Amino acid sequence: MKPAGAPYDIVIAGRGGQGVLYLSRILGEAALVQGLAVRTTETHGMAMRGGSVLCFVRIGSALGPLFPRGSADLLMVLHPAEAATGHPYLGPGGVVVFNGASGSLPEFLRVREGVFPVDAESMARSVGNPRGANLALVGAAASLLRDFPLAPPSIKEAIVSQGPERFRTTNLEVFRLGQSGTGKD
Amino acid sequence: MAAAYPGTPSTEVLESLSRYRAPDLHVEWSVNEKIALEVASAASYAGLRSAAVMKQVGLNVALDPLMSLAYTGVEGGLIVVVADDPGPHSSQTEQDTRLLAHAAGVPLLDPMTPEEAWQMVHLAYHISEKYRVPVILRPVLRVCHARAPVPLPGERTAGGAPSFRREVNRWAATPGHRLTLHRELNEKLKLLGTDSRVLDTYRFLAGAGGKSQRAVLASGVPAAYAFDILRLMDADGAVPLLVAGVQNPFNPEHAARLLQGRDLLVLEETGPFMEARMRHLLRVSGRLDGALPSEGEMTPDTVSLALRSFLQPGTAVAVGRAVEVRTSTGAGETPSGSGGSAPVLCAGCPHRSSFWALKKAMPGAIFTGDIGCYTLGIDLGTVDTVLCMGASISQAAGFYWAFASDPGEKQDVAAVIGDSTFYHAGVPALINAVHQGAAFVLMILDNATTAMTGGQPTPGTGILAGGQKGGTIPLEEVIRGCGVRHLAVSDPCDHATLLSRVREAAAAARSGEMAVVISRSPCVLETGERLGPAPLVDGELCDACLLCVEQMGCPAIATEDGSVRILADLCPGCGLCVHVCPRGAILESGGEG
Repeated sequence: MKPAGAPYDIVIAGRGGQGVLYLSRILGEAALVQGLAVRTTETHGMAMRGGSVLCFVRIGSALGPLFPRGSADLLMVLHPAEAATGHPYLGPGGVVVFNGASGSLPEFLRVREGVFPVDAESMARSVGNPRGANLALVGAAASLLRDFPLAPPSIKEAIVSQGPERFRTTNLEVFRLGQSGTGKD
Repeated sequence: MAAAYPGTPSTEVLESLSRYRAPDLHVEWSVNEKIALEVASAASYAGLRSAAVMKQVGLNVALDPLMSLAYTGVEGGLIVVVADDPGPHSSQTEQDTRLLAHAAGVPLLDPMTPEEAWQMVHLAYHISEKYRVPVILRPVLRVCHARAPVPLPGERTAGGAPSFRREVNRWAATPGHRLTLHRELNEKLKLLGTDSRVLDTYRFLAGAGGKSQRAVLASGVPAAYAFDILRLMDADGAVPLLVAGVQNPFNPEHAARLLQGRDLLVLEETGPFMEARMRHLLRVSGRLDGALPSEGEMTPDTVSLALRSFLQPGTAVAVGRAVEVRTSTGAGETPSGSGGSAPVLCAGCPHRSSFWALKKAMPGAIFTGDIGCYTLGIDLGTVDTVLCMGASISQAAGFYWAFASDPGEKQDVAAVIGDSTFYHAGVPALINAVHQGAAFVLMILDNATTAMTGGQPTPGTGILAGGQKGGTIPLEEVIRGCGVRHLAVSDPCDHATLLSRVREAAAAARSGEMAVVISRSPCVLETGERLGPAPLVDGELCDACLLCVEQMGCPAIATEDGSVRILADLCPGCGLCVHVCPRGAILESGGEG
């Protein structure tokens, strides 16, 4: 088990073009708004051409940007097929927010506790912002998870300060949909 | 002044500087790393602070000026930022720049976090200006591609006015004076090894004075992982963790004094640099005795296993190669048991049409490739070799000569290179090939940008790093200037015409003439424009041969229950698949797509 004072570790699994890096940036900025220490890293380069992308976000005191396998508090799955890429990093008590209906959960997630499927794609489409699924997932995480260290007001502030202006309104709407209309069933 | 050539993971340094507008700051994307360092060196000779930025393999290109610059020394502070890529995630090699710094006699600083990289820029300029040597700052990928809050001071302090002091025996030293300069450099390095600011970078991150008889010596990102993991193990009080920030010159005696005879685990990237230098002083474990793998990125998993088996012998069995777990998903690598996806050329990428034309016009050819997005032409079977920047052209010439006197059937050879890579290292290779009389097809993929690294401008566009207008150097003029007579320019969006141009070029090459085809269309990531409506699959005509799915590597074509479907969401409508389908079952849709 993690000792007291250990950081809250998040791993985000997705594919190039899904806004994985943008999501880690929002989480990082939201942490800064709250005055929390934060550290993120990601894989660039060839991975940007539709390849797998893993992002690591550590909120709290840590020096290294990566953490060992089996220690993440939260896995955010942006692309269902990438759940397996991120899963090895998840700690024993870690939870999962998953972009997709509960029927599309892979077996190894179906047998876990603390897995929250969220129909983030539809939420994003419903406000005409098909690339906003990442923010619906954050919304869900912020409302569903007890230990999630980021509060909705700071996340909204990060969305406002980091997003391109033309997507600001719909980005905030997707976030709110994620908060309220979870796909829990 | 700052100059760079883009390369992952170093690109963002100059991109950030180019957004920082100051009238007395010249920021440039140079044509290659050698030129970047040479440009920066002259600014330094003129007394100005300067920087050259590159990735680790870029330093191979810039090694010529660096080796000599160590001898001549500098006037204004000069930092060479060299980003290493252990893994490798996005490089040909995972070479350790500390070894080249040692070979060149150039001081090197190894930051472990983005915050420390910022602090080390100040220390690097201090060392550079005090000892009048260039200094390398070596952030690895996990520093470059990591984010953390870094407090910055408000105002930039203005630099002095330029002035060049003639000193022929230094700036233009002949071999006799070079001996003097070499002696001078060795003296500088000796003094640096015991400079108090340098020794201050040897510090205990944890466990100073701890009671354990075992200690850890680390540098760079592995030091940060060791700190986190010792804390997780609740061993950060007992086990001393010594980090050495200045890696060249490394002072093993000083480290040994601080470690007081303890047994040592050395954690560093990527080679056994400190480890080899500590072995005669202490009992040392690391890569050389197999406690750590000799290749690959050092991850928290690697560090964790190594620390556990070092501190609690017998409890952890997995050592050496067994800990070779890779945690990230770089090019083509997939963690075991995962559904990881490999990178592919974007939907609508003009390179796909270019590769398809080569494949159709020159079946059986040897295709020499180069460095860029278009390395992904491997998926289409039109990239057989990738060595280093510019080698596509020289290797094509080499293959031509290798087969020139072969009595068998004539071997077709085609080289493929991007516009930015051509300006970087392709021009001398083309001059050489034409001069020697080699004959092959050279296709230049001109998408008007350095796409792989995020779209930096090239000399062909005439745009400078800050977005201003600069001189334009058209590819056609360069190629003609290299002595090429057979030159065609074609748009890959018009696949049929491009195919004819490649066929003509192949015929010219077979008759002994060097033939160049410029395939010109902007990068779809840069323009974001729709090229046309998404084609439709005629279910009656399609016999599900899956040639389009298997050989084009297009992310917008998929199979659903055995039948082929074009994913209209992803398809920008380049229309190549219409040409590819042997049954004519993919139809251009006249409608809204």
